[in-house]
Amino acid sequence: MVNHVTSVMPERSLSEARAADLGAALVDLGFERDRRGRAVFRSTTVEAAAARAYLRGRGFGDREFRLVLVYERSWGIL
Amino acid sequence: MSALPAARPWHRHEEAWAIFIAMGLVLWVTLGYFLGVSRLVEAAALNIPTWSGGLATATKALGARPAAPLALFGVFLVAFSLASRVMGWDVARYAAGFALLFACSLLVALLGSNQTLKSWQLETPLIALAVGMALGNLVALPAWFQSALRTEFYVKVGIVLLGATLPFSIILKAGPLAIAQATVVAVATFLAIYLAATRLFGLDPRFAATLGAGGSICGVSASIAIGGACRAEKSHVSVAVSMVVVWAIAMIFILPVGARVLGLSPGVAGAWIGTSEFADAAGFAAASALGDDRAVKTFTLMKVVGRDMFVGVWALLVAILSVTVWERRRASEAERVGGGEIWRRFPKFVLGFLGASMLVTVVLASIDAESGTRFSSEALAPLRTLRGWAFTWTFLSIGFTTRFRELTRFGWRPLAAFAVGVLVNVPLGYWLSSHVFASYWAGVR
Repeated sequence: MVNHVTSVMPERSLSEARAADLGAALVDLGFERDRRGRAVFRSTTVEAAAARAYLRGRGFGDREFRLVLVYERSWGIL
Repeated sequence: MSALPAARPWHRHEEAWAIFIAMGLVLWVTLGYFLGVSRLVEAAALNIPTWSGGLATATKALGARPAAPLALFGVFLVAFSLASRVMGWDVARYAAGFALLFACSLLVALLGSNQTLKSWQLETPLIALAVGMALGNLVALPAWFQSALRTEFYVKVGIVLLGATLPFSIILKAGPLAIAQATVVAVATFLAIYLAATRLFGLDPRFAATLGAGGSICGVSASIAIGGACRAEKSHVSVAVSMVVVWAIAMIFILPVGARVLGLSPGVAGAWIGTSEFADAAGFAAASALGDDRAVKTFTLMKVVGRDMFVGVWALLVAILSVTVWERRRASEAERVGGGEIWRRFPKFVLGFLGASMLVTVVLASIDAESGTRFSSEALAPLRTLRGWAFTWTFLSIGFTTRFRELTRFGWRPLAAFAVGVLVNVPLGYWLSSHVFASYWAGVR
């Protein structure tokens, strides 16, 4: 019925080292870094809740990243 | 590792191309009028007159303007193929599929213009849906044909074209009223579904909000927007989408019959459908099935201006609720939710709809009354015809892509929660349209 893209961005206030740790954690989970612009990590397989739970488990607080979940209709959905 | 699609720039989205194509057509008819070449535009505006008797009469009606079907096909084939190319679809497959879809649309439009079928209230939308559903569920459609079944794309082209035939003054006048009516119904329906889902049936609040959004704001678009905003599970969003599609398809048949049985005027019936139908494309099918343009206009004012525009605001509210209340976090610890949520979830085609309306309103205001009348008949009438074809492709696509077997994968609890919303939405929408705001809706021309 739907496809999804989960995007995670380190908050701008994070130090470079902390943002790099966050990016590495996301890559471990299967996220890919968008090659353009600021650091944005995306996945079409990991769901948002799973990503957040995983990041919390790795010691990241909710205020250290921004999470955007976008669903799109699959083909043929009204 | 995910097969990650690159984030597409705005001009490679279906919504942007629906606006480009429709606005291009509006500019084309306007320039055609001012350059004195309206005939070029009219050549593609294929109208099939009402006919009775044998098929020979019908083909004779088509034969009176043999170039019109070709011109109509050519204009849209070029526009849609260009869009396909930029959006990265397979152009050859899409063009082949569109050719077959176009042939089907000619057939259903011919049937829909038959006097006997019309007298049985079988207008083109219902025939298109029935033909599409029968073939789509009984025959394995080839992949190249399926690539042309783009319900959302066609309906958005149609909506923007519709904007050109709705004076901006009507939108401004109807706007507050439509927003008031839509807000009352949306809030009541959302709460009914949400509370039934969480309190009666024990569903997760995010799932409940996604169901509630689908039943109250703007159907599938709302379910996926709100599902994304509150980070609902994919399986829950899929169930909410199934619910919306099942009820939206049912309402295509129920609401027009109900409007006729209750003796509603076209304007009131359109407003009721705009308030109580669950999806744009399905709503256009229901409103068009009444066979009166006033119903389509009031439907659009209710649905697009009253409901669709506000999905971004709902998304922001639900996102805040999600990261604070449902996550049980203090605001200072909760994830940040930015105002960008509103724009991200905003249906951009609404801008095309408003832009087309403003453009034509400015043109009409800048010419004298006599020229305005000529502009209406030489420019806007062909545009109305082109819009009709865009909607016919929409209705056929709905029919061809509705697979009943795929829509039955949900439990009884979401079905029951959504049904509670339907029981609130439909009567409340009827009462507001036919009693509280009836005089306004009945007066829309």
